[in-house]
Amino acid sequence: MSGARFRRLAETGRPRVAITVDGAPVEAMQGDTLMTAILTARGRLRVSEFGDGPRAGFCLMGACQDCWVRLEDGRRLRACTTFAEAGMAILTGAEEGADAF
Amino acid sequence: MRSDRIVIVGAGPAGMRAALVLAGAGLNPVVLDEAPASGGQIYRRQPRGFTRAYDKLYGFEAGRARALHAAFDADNRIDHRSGTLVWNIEGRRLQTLHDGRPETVEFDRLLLATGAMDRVIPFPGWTRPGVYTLGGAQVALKHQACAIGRRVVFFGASPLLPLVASQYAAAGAEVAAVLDTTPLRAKLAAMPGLLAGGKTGWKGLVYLARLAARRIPYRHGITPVAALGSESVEGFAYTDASGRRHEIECDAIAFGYGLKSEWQLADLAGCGFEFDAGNYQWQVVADEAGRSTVPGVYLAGDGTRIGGAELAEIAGERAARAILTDLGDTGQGAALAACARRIGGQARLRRAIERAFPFPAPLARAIPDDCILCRCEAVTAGEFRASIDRLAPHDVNRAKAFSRVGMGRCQGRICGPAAAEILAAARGVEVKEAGRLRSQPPVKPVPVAAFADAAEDAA
Amino acid sequence: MNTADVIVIGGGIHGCSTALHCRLRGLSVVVVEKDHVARHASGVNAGGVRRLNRHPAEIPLAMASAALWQRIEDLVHDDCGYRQTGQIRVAEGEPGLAAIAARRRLVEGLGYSHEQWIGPEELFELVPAISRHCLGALWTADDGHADPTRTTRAFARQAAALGAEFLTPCRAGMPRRAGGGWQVPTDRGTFSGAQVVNCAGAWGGAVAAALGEPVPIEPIAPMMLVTARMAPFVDPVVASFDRMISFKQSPNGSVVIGGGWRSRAEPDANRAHVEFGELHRLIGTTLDLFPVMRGARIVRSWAGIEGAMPDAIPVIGPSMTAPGVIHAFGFSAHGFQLGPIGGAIVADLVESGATSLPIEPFSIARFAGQAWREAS
Ligand SMILES: Cc1cc2nc3c(=O)[nH]c(=O)nc-3n(C[C@H](O)[C@H](O)[C@H](O)COP(=O)(O)OP(=O)(O)OC[C@H]3O[C@@H](n4cnc5c(N)ncnc54)[C@H](O)[C@@H]3O)c2cc1C
Ligand code: FES
Repeated sequence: MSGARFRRLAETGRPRVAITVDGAPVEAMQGDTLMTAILTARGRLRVSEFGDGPRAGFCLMGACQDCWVRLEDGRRLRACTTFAEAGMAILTGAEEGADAF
Repeated sequence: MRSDRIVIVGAGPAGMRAALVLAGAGLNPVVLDEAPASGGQIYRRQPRGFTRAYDKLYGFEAGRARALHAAFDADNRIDHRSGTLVWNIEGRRLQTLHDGRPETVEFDRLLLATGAMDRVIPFPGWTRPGVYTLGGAQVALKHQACAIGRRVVFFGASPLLPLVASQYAAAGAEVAAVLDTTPLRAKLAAMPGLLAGGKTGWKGLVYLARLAARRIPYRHGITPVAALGSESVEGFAYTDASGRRHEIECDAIAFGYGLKSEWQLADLAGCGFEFDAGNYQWQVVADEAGRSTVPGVYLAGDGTRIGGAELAEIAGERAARAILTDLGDTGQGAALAACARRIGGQARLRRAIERAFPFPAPLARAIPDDCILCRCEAVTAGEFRASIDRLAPHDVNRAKAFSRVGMGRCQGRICGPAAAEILAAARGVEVKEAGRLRSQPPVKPVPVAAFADAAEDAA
Repeated sequence: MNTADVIVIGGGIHGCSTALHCRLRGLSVVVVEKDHVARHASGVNAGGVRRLNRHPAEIPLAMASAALWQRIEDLVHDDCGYRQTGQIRVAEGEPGLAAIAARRRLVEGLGYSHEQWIGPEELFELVPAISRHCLGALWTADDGHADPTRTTRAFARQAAALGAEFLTPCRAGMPRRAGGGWQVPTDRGTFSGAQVVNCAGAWGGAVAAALGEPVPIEPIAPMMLVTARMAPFVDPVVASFDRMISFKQSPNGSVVIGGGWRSRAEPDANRAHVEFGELHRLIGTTLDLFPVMRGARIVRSWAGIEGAMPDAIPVIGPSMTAPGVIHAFGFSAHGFQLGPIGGAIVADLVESGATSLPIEPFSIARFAGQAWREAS
């Protein structure tokens, strides 16, 4: 998997929030959107259902809907407008089974 | 009159100012906004716990932002319900999701101040991780103190282009280049209008100067070729004004071609539309005081007519005063006239900005066949053209039914302008003849689970 | 002046099918459509190709139409997206089971065997994603679904290829007698023909009324919800005997949910609104039947304009007041499957004044004068 995509430029003194991405622990910060939390540690949010590769969001303002991520508990959240919360377990890989896409 | 239920959708400058004017007249407007805090796009606030100062966040606009935030927060006659997505309008009822739960909000008068989003034209590689809109890049910085990558190329034709690039540079991000699709001579031709436009007109030059001071290249008249790389962005290829190809190494790209009104709710409310040649897009019809064609529904800000934050705020005030007038307050005439004057005074600047950053329609018409046009449904431009050839749709709604372009979860917000150009090119007509995608509820996806919980509560 | 053997008012699936079948018999045809082919109910329906649970009067027609669906590609040179996935109607409680028992008695009594009872095990095997509270179902293995726009356009395209003339967008006025035949004024001049076919859907009542035989037709707007794509989890179209729902996963993965929920139709303005007021009940039903839908997101909705008759079966057959006019409208939200045969029936009537299928129950005479009011 590719490395981090987003780069933090400031505000790095915030309290940490522990989440997991594809099973691995990731340290996010309070006030991070899920998108920031994931993309400061990884290179993608999800994999296109059409086989055209990974996606990492586009508009960051809740318009394009290309950043919905899947949680292990079955929830689906729009990563650019949802704040990260401790304990969230995110899956970014291609999906199988009835709950895919 | 005082018992009229007045609801404002959108807590950007237009909606906030309108709410303040209405509250000042003793009314209790309800303000609904999907975002967790008021401010809209330009005055978007950083999350709690962030500590950057106003001037770091809002630059020239810091004073205005601080004033508006403070006044809005202090006014307890305003019922601001953040985290509320309005996803449908039925008659005099708004259907909303408030913190994920369905709620109905009734109104007697409705002000739509729903703002705008970036207007884009797909180019090869644009769905790759690392390619974002200019506005998106700005949100990453303003709201999250992040850059979208280590080394960023900015391109397009938008007032946001020099602005966001210089904000990135100032915040310590590496800006590889700023590439403007507008030819230099068009930019120069617009210059007198920009400079006559007062402070706002000069700001653009300041951004350019700041970029120059950091020796960041700013090129005019470029044509995008592709985002390079496989799993994510590794570079950007473009041709310059003389047709020569260049490649720049970068791991992120931000682009856009001006803004595009978010008018889906106005459409569901039944408002009339017209094609605005200056903004080169469909806009909601409003009278000189911000009344839509539907009685009781008012309009303000970029959701109605792209004009920027300063105009949005005046238009918010104007619509509020129109509401007061329609409620029987006869004392609003002078203030309404003053709003009209201020808005009129900006007309020249607005036209100059439109001319300085024109929408490059030929670029949309020339999207290569193998480039993805609709990122929701992964339909390529070639597939879209083939469906046009085969089925000869007359307008974009038909074309959508035949090709699925515009049918995905963004409802054509992203691919719509380019798809309309491609259809218009195939039919040999002007883009307005290709029509306007009709909006369908929900204007944004709503999770099935939200209704399930509501059904359980009702049972 | 323009002339043709047959002037068809309406470019929905029945008008287009009529045009095709008339051309197959060598009759000249003009189709007059005020918007464009498939603009209304025929292009925006749920695409169900269903014999299951039809009104007894419709069963013979639906059986004959199913035979045409089997060879739809031969007929219109397009597979119409037709997939024989089966249709299932489940029982969720005692009332549903009782309804199934009654239905079986009725259908078997009429001598049909296309609707089969399946118990819970078989149901869960056919539809693994369905909730285990279901008690059994009726199942028609070779029903299915098709792409409505594509189907309707395929009929139009094939009819046109065989020489039918389509005028779109072109509004037809009310037919008037001329000599032994009929004239139809339109936006593009007056057309005269020996016979006129009223396939005007929700607008069909206006044509009948102009001919002196008003009918109690109601414009309705059935609503559909669409979700974001999901990996395939259900093949057949699923409905319930206990609650209003129809549930289907499209080949592209999106789930399309309907089931007769109606909103406001404005036929004069060509508009149908989606009203979500009651739809949370439909969503509740959806989740009860398919727990996997909890993670789904609704991304779109639509409603289309359809004409409903009070007895929920269409008007098909010759006019009682205007010799040479044939009606085929008011399909009451389930006329898509009948499209292929509907045109053949009308072509029979045009050609010989008779058809071998039993269409008496659909006669407009049932609404004549007092007869209807007394019966109802
Ligand atoms: C990304 C971006 C960056 C920009 N950056 C700058 C800049 O730096 N400088 C500048 O001068 N101009 C900038 N502009 C332009 C400027 O932001 C606008 O001109 C101004 O904000 C318009 O104000 P408004 O009130 O009309 O809209 P907005 O500020 O966009 O406010 C509209 C609000 O409505 C809410 N809303 C919309 N639909 C719904 C719904 N269905 N339910 C609930 N809530 C809803 C939105 O969430 C939003 O908060 C930018 C625009 C964009 C899109
Ligand atoms: S990135 Fe566009 S909706 Fe989140």
